[in-house]
Amino acid sequence: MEGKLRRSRPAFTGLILLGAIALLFGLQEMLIPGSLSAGQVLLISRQASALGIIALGQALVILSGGIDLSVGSMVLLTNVFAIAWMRGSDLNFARGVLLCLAMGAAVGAANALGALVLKIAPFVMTLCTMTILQGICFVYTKGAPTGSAAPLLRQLGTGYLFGIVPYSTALWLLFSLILWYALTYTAYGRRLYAVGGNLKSARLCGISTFRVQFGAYVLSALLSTVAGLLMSGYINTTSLSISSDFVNNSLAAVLIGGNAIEGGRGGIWGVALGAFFIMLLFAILTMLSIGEAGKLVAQGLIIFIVVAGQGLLKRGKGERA
Amino acid sequence: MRRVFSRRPQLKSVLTIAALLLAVFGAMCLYSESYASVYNITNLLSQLIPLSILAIAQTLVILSGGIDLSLGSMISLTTVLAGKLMDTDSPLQIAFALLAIFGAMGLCGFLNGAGSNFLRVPPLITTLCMSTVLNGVALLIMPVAGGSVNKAFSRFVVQKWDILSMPVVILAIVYAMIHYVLYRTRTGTHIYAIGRSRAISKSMGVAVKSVSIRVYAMAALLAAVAGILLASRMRIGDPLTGANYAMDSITAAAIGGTALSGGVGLISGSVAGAFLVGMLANAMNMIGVDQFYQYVVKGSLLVVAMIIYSLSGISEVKRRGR
Repeated sequence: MEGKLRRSRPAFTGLILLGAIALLFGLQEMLIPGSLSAGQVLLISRQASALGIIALGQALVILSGGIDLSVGSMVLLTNVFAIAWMRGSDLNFARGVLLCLAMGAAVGAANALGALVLKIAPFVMTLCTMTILQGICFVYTKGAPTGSAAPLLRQLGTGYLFGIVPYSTALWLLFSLILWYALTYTAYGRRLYAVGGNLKSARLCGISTFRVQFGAYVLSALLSTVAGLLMSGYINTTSLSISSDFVNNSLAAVLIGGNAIEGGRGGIWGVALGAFFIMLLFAILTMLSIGEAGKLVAQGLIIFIVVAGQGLLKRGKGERA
Repeated sequence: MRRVFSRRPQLKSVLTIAALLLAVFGAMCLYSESYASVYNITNLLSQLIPLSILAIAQTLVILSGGIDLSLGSMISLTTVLAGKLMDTDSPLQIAFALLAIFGAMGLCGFLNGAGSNFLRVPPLITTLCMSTVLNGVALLIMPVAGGSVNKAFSRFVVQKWDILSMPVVILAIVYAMIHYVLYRTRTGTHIYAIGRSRAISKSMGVAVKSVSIRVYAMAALLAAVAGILLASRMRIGDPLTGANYAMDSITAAAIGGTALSGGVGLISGSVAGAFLVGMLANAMNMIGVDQFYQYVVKGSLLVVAMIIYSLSGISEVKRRGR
């Protein structure tokens, strides 16, 4: 019964989000006739893939009852060191990727240790990690980053699978599928929901809450690392502004996706759709060229309206949030 | 002594932070002879005030079980409005500008409260969206830093007398007012109550939504005060000033022992936390730590501060558990 309820909620949110996305596409076609095509949808899905992958990790941490503000800096860190380690050569590709993943795992472990062992509030702990990682990148690049990505990484960031679907989109879908499976059908998924829903009762039920939450933080950092690698391949250089807004947008994507900020409730597909919705919104606002200020205002209002609309519709359906 | 602590367990964390503050201050005095001079202390204090006021505002919201990410953007918008509207010599127009700023911020705070209470959008998202919108509005009004704030007015706001200065007086007034609201009025009790549990408070007859909305409005008004202080110091409006303030205020509140889950915390702790954050930044500038290293040092020092704080908390829990 409980499992059924849990699954029905994200499905419902997903439908609303699909409706909102369809509405946005319709609006785009109306405002800029002839701009809507399958190719454009795939292009937006590639732009959304980095945010989408990060939001998946963020969703895991939030489900477990925490929050991860270091995702954006993790992308920046990966970007800086992936480029530095690969030095534009395929020979260093595997080594670079492995080192980056190891670095991601270490950062995730640090977050988890701070939040779980030292009992620092996750918000503050990950905020500190964020500041430190940013600092490391600034110090390492001395504020003036250079270099280019390995051709293989570049291929991964810009290439297409079977000539149609961008690699990054495919990866995003793959991760979503794996996590959806893990959350719905494995013991780890059930434990994650239990820990996020009520930490104390989960512990009393014999769940190793530490292991579950540790896993969530490490996975989040690893997913951010993957997103960082894809972004590095896409922009093919180091950019200190690469991490801008990933934190806020990933939080927005997770909450638009119908997950509860206090943990324990939510799903994966809503988050994926949420990330796509946000990037589509940004793309359309950019296409309309209404300037930075107008873009910010529209962005804030529309995200708010979508979340508020979901709440109202849910209440209309008799579900109590 | 023990009874004092057991009545107010967070008091201990406030004292821990105060000890840390003294340690930083002492270390800086050893480093530089002039650090303990009246001139420097006045300067330092007036630099720490905007963040302290904002930390009080953030603490109010966190105590009531919410969070406000839009306080930084409110500061930006306030300085922009001040830069636009206070470029005049007529006292009447300055009074009008102040009224407009407080009115606008009060409205934003009300909207934050209404969004998270009536539309049931999580406070994190409501205030994040508010922050984005306000950033946009600030950029719309003033694409680049500019404008000007009336000289006499800004002189009045930042004036100094020996070791005291106007910002310190303003902080004292704000602190006294919020202290009064929190510990001497029914609203204050309600704020703590709804932070602990909205459901229980509601069943006990607390007007949960109205209290929460008032908290957001109060926080927004305090952000306006902080913004006016900053605008008077810079004497221009800058749409990007507030960028880091929201996060810093949350950090300050958390360092001061405010639980981010709501219902637990003291404003004295948040002010001490804000002082610690501000003094660390100031100390690094004094020592001449490279701008880029400052990020690393700041983050690491905050982790250390939090570890010290949480260790004292853990031992407290163990002692009380026995």
